[in-house]
Amino acid sequence: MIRPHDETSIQAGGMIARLKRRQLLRMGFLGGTVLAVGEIAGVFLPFFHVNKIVGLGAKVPAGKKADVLAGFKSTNDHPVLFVEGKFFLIHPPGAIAAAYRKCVHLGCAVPFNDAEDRFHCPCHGSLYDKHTVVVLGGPAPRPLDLFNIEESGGNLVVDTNPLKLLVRSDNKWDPALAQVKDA
Amino acid sequence: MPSLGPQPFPGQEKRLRLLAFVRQDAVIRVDKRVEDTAMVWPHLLLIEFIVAMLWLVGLFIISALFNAPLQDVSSPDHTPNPSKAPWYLLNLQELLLHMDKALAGVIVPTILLFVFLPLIPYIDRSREGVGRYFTDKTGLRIFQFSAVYSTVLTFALIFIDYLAKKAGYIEWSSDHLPGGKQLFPNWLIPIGVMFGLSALLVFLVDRLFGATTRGKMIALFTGFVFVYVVLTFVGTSMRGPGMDLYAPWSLPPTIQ
Amino acid sequence: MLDLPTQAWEWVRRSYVWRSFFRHGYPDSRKNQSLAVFTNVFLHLHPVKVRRHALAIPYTWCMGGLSFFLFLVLTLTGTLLMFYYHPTTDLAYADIKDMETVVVFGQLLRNMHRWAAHGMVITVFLHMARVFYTGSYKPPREFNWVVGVLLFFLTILLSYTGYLLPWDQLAFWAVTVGYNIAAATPFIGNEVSYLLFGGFELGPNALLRFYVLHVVGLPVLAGFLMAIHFWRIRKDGGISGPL
Ligand code: HEM
Ligand code: FES
Repeated sequence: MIRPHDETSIQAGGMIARLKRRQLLRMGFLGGTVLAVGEIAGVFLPFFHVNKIVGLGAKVPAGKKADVLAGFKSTNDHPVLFVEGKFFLIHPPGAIAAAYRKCVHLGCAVPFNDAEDRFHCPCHGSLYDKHTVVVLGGPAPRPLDLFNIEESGGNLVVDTNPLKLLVRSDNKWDPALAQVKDA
Repeated sequence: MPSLGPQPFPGQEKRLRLLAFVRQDAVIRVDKRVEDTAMVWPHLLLIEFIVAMLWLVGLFIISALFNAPLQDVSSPDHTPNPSKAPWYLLNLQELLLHMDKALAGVIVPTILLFVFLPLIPYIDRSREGVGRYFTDKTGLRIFQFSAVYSTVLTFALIFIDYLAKKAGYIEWSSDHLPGGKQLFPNWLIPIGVMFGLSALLVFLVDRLFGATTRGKMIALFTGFVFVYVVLTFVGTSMRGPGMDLYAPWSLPPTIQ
Repeated sequence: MLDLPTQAWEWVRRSYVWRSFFRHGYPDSRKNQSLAVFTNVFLHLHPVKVRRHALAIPYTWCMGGLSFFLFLVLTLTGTLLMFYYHPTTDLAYADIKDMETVVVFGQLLRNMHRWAAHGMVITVFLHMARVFYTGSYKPPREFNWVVGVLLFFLTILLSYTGYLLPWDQLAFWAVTVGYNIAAATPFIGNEVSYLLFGGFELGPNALLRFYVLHVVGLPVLAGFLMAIHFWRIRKDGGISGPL
């Protein structure tokens, strides 16, 4: 294929033969370089992608369901904070839910205010309900987002992946969100 | 004192060889008069040394007088109000208050840094005015005009935004505008304002000063610099808790 | 007796060893001054002669040179800080506290590093402004302007990554602001922030990533770009001046 050629051999050989040796080599080098760069990028992106998550993003055990319910009963449904996973276990009607404590306004960490008996964001004063975390006041555009929660063998597990949130646009509790019933 | 004489240094006995081919531009041209050039040793090196030492001493003094800030250990539980980025990014954080996050935080800076700034020399390619501040008198006037223009307008826009939001503009727009409070307030209006005012500036310097390409570049770059400075200033000393607007002299402290 | 030191000095300078180090006499003649600049790896960042115009302080305000100087100061003070700093969430803050209270001259060192970093952002910006207003980006210096823009970007990134390292409230929440901005990138925002910060929030991964970028990745990159920057200044005919 790569050999000195004249007019006739070019005519006969078609596209491939029309390439001069130099062009072929040049294109080979170029292609090789592009390939190498692509491969390096292809190796490095997954390399920098963290696969083992601790803290926010992991599945966080939230205790035995029975204990949590007993706790709610004795404290008049006081929300339970999990600092590592950044959520509160709350007690909406008929269910146990996990509320992501990042204020849906501008992202401050929302604390529960015992004196007011509701959530009160320190940054711009958004207020959220104790049981259902719907908005009671302030600039928050929607209720606090919820994490997915599941029950396995009597234990509660909260999936704190912030990319898989239960986002509510209505400002009320929807029974369809009851992933774990409290009965 | 005995002189070292003309003895060659070790390894340098053979003195004549071809060093390099040098382009005309890259050397001090021989036909220039001698007074045009100065020896690097001692003249330039002396200046560099003195300036470096003055700065080093200054840095020592500042560091002895003022301590770098260090607050409590970080806690994801307590968000200081307001939380602010480092001062050189507060211009972006200020923009964030006036338009969509993606526009203010990513798109605008990307365009500025990777499109507008690098393209300057490829748009303004004449060699007019190299080596002279502002090229000439007109350039200086364009600079002054653009500086005032962009400073005043940036402050004014921030203030208008403040008044409009106070008057319930967000609520009004979510009820009455197509696309609610996202499309117009967060995208179309800011983009329109940024492009419109830049275009108006170019138009004005063209009309008022008969600006060349270089003159228009001076206008745009000056606009960039002064908007950057004003936004940084507002973000640093006029934003208090809740990122609300305050006068710089009555800025409340951060609530930890 | 009195000229003994002079003689000793003279003897040293004539010795084979000295002359193998320095291939020129004392720079008090034009030839030796040229050779001093020419044969020294550090000084030869400069040409032997420059245009007189380039010496005028009100022309450059030395802002490029000072940016480089501050970069060197930061490299030195930063390396010293590294001797006491562990980039982990449980040690970082305590290390900085110790730096201020236990380590001799530690507070001064930290202050110098911090203020020089702020200073460098300012000098680089002023340098860019002076280059622009003197029209020094015009041919043949277009490419060096582009390199400069990248250096400006790197300077900000260096400052920003360093800001997180004390791991105090100021650092944590300031960088969180940046996290939220990165996450707002259209289409790939979540991927970008996840990759840069090594997680969904600021944690041990983010601290370590920022540390590595701050002490190795970005300085090396900036060093490369500066080498190109300085080389190009010379190849483009030195500091710009009136035609
Ligand atoms: C880490 C940052 C930087 C360092 C250390 C640096 C250093 C320098 C130095 C030492 C000079 C010699 C002249 C002078 O001192 O003014 C110079 C010239 C120059 N710089 Fe920079 N610089 C940096 C960033 C920039 C930036 C941000 C730009 C523009 C966007 C830029 C564009 C230029 C150009 C075009 C020249 C040639 C100017 C002339 O010939 O008059 N540099 N730089
Ligand atoms: S961030 Fe909570 S009210 Fe603004």
